[in-house]
Amino acid sequence: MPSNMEIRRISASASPATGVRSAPAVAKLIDTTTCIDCKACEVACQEWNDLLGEETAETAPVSFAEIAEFGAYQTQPDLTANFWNLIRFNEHVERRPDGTERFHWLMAKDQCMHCEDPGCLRACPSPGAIVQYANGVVDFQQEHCIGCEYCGAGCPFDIPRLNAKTKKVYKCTLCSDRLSYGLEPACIKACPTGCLQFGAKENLVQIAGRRVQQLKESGFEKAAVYDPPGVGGTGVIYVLALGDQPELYGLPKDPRIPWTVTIWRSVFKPLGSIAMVAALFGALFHYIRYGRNEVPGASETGEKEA
Amino acid sequence: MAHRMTGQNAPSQSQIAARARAQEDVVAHGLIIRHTAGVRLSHWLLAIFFFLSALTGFVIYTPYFAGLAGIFGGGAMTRFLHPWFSLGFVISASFLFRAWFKRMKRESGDDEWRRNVGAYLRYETELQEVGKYNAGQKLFFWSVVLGAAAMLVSGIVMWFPTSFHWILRMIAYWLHEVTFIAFVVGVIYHIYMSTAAMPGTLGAMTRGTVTKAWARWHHPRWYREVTGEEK
Repeated sequence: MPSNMEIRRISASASPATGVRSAPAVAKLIDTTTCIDCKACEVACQEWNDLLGEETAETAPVSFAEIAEFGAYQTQPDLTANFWNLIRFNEHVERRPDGTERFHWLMAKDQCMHCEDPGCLRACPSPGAIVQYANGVVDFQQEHCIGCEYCGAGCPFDIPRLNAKTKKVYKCTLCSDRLSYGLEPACIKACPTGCLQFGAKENLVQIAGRRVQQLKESGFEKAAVYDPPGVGGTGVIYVLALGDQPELYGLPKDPRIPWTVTIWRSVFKPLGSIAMVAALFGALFHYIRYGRNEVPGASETGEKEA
Repeated sequence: MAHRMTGQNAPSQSQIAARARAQEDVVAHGLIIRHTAGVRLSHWLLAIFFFLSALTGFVIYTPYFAGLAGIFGGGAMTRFLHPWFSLGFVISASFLFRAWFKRMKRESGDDEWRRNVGAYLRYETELQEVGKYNAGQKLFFWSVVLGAAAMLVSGIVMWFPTSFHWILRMIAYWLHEVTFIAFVVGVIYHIYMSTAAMPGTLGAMTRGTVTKAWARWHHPRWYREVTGEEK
């Protein structure tokens, strides 16, 4: 196993993850301003992972309102267990401070964000079903998955999808199989405009920063890098022209692992375990201190004990 | 037919005993029948499904019990079985609910028990007004009823999580977690009290019988009702 694929974090494990070697964090940079919505990355993802797309729900006759809702140029409404990489397409009219309007096609590739602090992994109850490699990639190990979908509750980006047939969850692997052979992810390989880049996160953050600077100089004052700190940063970072409103791209403004999940996984469980063990000891101590509540005279009268 | 062949019209001792065991709150063979056979069966059905649900639940509750998944055929199978076991638990609980809820209402003796609960747990008191079930048993009964309902409702949400809104899911996760812990703590004391702490009690749920002395000691008012004896 190459050192970058050693397991740094593992779900629901009584013992620590096994990885000791460190590797630079990798990242995928999505420059939404140079995306032409060609869907090459979607096709490459389906091809490399040998995924057959599912027929989307028949909503015919599709009304214009429905088209407008999810975008006429979007491949399908949402991610599915067999479709891990979707270019979200949104139209937006920006009202500029000078009173003019600017029309935007906002294309943002939606897939697993490979959080530094993955909510899915924290929520997962099955040992080893979710792992994070030394390079930061978060991967599902379907052979250990029990299909409970807790990961979906912990994910701030609503990414994991259950396959109805296998009853396991699936998502973008960041092509961990390709990475282990030193190849870049399939979507990166297919991108014709260079809007997708892959490499050490440190380098990509700098490239993204330079691009944001460039955008600001060309009249996109709100341009920004999307690398949300609430989840410790992500392994997928974006350059957004309208960086102050990531929700226009379908990205949450300040994603965090929900505190309800943290309390459920990290507070209730230890407290509950203490309570259960304490109950056992309580019963034992009661027995030692007070013994049995004998029925008086039961032995003398010779009455049968039931 | 049997009567004619043996020439006996009066039922035999064993027939009397057999009939008595299908009833409750009657004296038979010097023993008092505390629970009907139907109640006893429902109770053990409930107990079996409780343990199956709890064990499969423990696998998902904490990785320290992940090894238990092996006896159920692995993690995925455990997750598959857990809701079905729990459905069995809820159904058998509903049998016991039907049999018991009328007797679990507030009674005059309950206040006496509640006032003396500390002394009761230290075996320092003899309460004369305890009926068939003391106030603690009633509390346990209603807790189980409430707990089973909470487990059922939250469990259905967790069974098909993506069919429900995220907020409902989170409420279900919390409710299921807290109720599970309360159930395990409650059942630990339920088993302790009915076996080690109170000799003569377990038979009420196995053969259905308790001794008169046991009934007089633990449930005096019920004893007087069954036997017709005065104080």
